[in-house]
Amino acid sequence: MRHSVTLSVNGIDHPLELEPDRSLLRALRDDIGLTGTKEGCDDSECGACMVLVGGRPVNSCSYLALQAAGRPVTTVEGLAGPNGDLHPLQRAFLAEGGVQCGFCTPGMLMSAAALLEANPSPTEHEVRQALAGNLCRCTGYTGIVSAILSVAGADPDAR
Amino acid sequence: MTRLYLEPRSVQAAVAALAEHGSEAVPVSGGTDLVVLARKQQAPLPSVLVALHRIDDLNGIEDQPDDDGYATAYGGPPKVGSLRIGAATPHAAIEHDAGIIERFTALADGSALVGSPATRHVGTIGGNLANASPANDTGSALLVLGGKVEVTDADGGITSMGLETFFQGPGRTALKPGDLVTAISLNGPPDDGRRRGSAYIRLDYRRSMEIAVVGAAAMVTLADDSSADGGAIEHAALALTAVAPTCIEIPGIAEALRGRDPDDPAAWDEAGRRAAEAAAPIGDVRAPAGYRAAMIPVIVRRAFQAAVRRARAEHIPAPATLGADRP
Repeated sequence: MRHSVTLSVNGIDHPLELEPDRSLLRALRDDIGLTGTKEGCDDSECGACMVLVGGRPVNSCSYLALQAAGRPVTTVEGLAGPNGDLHPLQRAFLAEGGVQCGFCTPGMLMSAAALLEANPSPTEHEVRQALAGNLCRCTGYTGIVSAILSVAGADPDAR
Repeated sequence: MTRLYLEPRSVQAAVAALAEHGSEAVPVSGGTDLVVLARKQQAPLPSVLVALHRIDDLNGIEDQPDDDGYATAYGGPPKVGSLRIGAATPHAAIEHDAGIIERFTALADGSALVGSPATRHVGTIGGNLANASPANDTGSALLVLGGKVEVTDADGGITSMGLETFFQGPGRTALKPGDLVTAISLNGPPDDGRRRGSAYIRLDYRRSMEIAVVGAAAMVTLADDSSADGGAIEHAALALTAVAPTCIEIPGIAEALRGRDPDDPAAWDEAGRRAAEAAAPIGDVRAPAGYRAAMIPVIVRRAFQAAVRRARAEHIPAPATLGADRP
């Protein structure tokens, strides 16, 4: 049985009719058309599907879309400014070489955004802990961590 | 195939929904077990989902009136700092709660080890216990801390039970159809000035997104609150994870360790021997049974040594790691 639900994604309300087992990832990609969020393992292991629900990181592949109703959802498309200006984290990922194949990047950015919102000046250890649920198969972690630390106003070499 | 999704706003409405739909209905909170298993096609989603995330009464950690009944029954001083954790409280809230870190540190360790930050933001303690994995990271901590599971039945009746009663086997609990885990309660320590510490240590292959190979939760009370090192062991408790069909408390630990020197390695070797006797490890994808058996005394010693260091007011942040027995 489909349920009527309104998902608020990046500040825009999307009225939808969803089956109870519809994942938030499928709703975002297939029903709303926001394909920045990636499907990696579909098993909550890799973090490619990471989005924010109520400001906190969630693996959207394994989260019921209906449970996101009433809470703001932020995807990677919601990071850039209204004029398309890249978010400081996105600029830092480019500057520090934090992007290789790019598949993990949206999830990495969302985990990083949640971290900096909760803790604007994390240590390198805290950055790595915050990314513990995000896998990069290119193993490009050094650039990713440097990028996040540079936004946090920290000098990676000093840590 | 799920045909019905319900979002009750109260515990009463939730247990009524569970009762109405019987064995077809399953509660879901963060879905980090239920939905993930369905994605992996190991277990289909139930036909009726009763979502708990909008029931405010289930989410949060609150102070509880201290349990005078316990103190009276055992003749000890009153207990202080008791807590009630709503069943749908996420691990992230538990691992960072000041009262849990101060008085129930092993539980902070366990909650901080679950999955990844995303898992801990949505995964809940009630779900962790109700799924009853032999490798669950909060059960052993709650066993040594004396935590009780509060269960609400279809008629609104409330039962409270220890984890040794709640866990019945792998994936099996004492919950009857229509029952809902509504809270975990923790009695504060006696107000006697004694030094106490607890720790949960997990042997694993990496720090995150991992499942215990062997886990040990230890709790110690030291006898001499006037001396710098706290004196001899007055009380101790030990529970193991991932080496039996459920998390298990090891019998006879308090008697075996009472009066022993916490810096004497032989005391912890004795605890390790008892633990190995009580365990019945199996071999699986994570480790052969023999490796688990061999590691039990090692992890037991490290858990006790971390608990003693915490009892001596040394700050070991949660989660205590494998190296927590070393300065």
